[in-house]
Amino acid sequence: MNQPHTSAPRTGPVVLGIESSCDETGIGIVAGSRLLTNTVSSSMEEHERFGGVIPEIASRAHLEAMIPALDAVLADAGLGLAEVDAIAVTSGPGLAGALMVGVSAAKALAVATGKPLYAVNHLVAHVGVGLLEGSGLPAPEAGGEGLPEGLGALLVSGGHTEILKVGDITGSVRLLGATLDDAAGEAYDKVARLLDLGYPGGPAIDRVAAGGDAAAFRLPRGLTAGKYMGSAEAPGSHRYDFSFSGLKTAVARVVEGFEARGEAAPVADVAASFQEAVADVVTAKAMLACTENGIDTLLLGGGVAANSRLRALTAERCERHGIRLVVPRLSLCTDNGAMVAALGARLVAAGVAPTGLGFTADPSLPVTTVSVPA
Amino acid sequence: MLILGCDTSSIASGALIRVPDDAASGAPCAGPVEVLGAFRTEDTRSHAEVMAPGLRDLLAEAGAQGPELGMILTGLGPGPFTGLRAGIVTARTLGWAWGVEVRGAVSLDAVAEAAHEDARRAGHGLLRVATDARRREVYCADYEILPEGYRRVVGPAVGPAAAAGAVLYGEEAAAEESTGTSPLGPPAAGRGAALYPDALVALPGHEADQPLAEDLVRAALRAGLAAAQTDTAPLYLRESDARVPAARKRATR
Repeated sequence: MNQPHTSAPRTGPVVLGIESSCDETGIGIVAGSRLLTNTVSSSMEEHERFGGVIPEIASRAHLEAMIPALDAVLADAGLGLAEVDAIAVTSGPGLAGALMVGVSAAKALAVATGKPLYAVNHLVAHVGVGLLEGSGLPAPEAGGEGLPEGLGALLVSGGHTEILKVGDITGSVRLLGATLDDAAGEAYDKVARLLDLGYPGGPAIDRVAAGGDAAAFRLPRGLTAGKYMGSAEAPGSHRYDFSFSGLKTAVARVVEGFEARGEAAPVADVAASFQEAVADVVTAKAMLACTENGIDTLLLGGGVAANSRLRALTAERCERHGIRLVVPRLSLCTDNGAMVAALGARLVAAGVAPTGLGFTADPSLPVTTVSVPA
Repeated sequence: MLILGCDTSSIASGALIRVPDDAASGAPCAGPVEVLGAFRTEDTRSHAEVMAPGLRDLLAEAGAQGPELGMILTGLGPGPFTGLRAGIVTARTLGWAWGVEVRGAVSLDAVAEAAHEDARRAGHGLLRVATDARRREVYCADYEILPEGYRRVVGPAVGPAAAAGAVLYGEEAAAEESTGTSPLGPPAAGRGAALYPDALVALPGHEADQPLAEDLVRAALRAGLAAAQTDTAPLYLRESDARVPAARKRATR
């Protein structure tokens, strides 16, 4: 392949990636570790009045967004379909009906073009996006994998709250911890509703919390009791796991307490205290997971990576523990197709066999399955 | 002209069909067609798995290339949402990539296509098509049996199997009509007839009929390809089940 840009010393396979696991229809194209285009069409506004993502509404929106998005990426990248070397698609985890639209479209593209198809893991793709040039992790060097030795990822979004250890992005990823109930972003949405702050809750709470006292209310940090934590040598049952349902209920109690006394709840203080509780427990457990599992580079991904307090506290604590923090730019942190393409490009480069056409969407695909085997 | 048909409104099916050149002009064409290949699933849950490879194999076995197709015709339902979308997005994406026109047809017409001759032979003037809409409901439409062919006169609609007449014609009209004919309405073809024998009278031999891609193409040819819908929006007929959340439950008492 020609290398017309001196700033891009290495190009690689051109991969088109499709993401439809939740409410965003994302399609992106990469050439190796270079991002060519990334288009995302979101049905977020249609979910607003429900206070959360409605799977059927998201699925309907994916169907209508798919062809316009395909048109847009090719036009934006100035590429023809024939120039695409491989196709990658999120096959899970995610909402079944939503995944099914992207998976069906990707299979049709693979049939139409005869190009290899990779069914990839949504969560690992969130990490894969960090390998794109300019995203923070070192670009792969010729002859080397370019992946830091002790790489971990903290993924925080409306659908996920996970800590991963990434040995080899194309084959060896381990789940260290995950939420047992709500995702952090979901807790934000629910608390925002409680405080009449609208949807999505993350940005709304972040904004209001800026003027509040984070120490005004002492709210619980889920799964931090000794029996869950144990010690580094003898870890408890949920040392790196999260739970936000108790926190949500605690916030409700605070608000109802004010209501019962006929007083207005101090929204800013409640929002700030809630946000502090989330950021504190998420980063504290992430630091434990890092230091106890040889992780010295941590990638922060997912939509909640936009949250100012989570970013600040993660940065502060990473620095204290000598951990390098990498946060891709926000458009690549939220769900998108470029991350799927980026992981696909790594799989192609590593010579991993494509998935083929026989797979189906798997709403609970484990992170250990980076790409679905044929 | 080659037409690639697909339908995922119930089971998943595909067919590659060669049609006479006069059909390509868009005029109605009820003559025989040449089915080069066809596939269908037994189950109603594997659409996203089988659709693309199934269509690929149809073309490969016929030695045909995608861009040679004259049209891709997809069933628009009505049918359960997730499966329905799998077929429509497959058809749209193939058409987009190959530069082939994609059109749509009502999936229930495929069942009418399969059953209308037997309905005429039995002397019926009307045929009801009823497919499984789950929740004790059916997707349904009524077809007038013509000397040659048939014509959809009402539907598609969705509603309780036990009240299919009212679903199609409204409460009053259905009550009036039932005094003249069978209280259970015209003979019915499709899975609905097998699932709800108390509510629908089956047209013998057609109670298990499923919408099939090859019948869908035949039905579209009969009406004329020019009449096939260029808009391939799915016929959901139901809203999503989403409800605006009620006031929150109290955490304290």
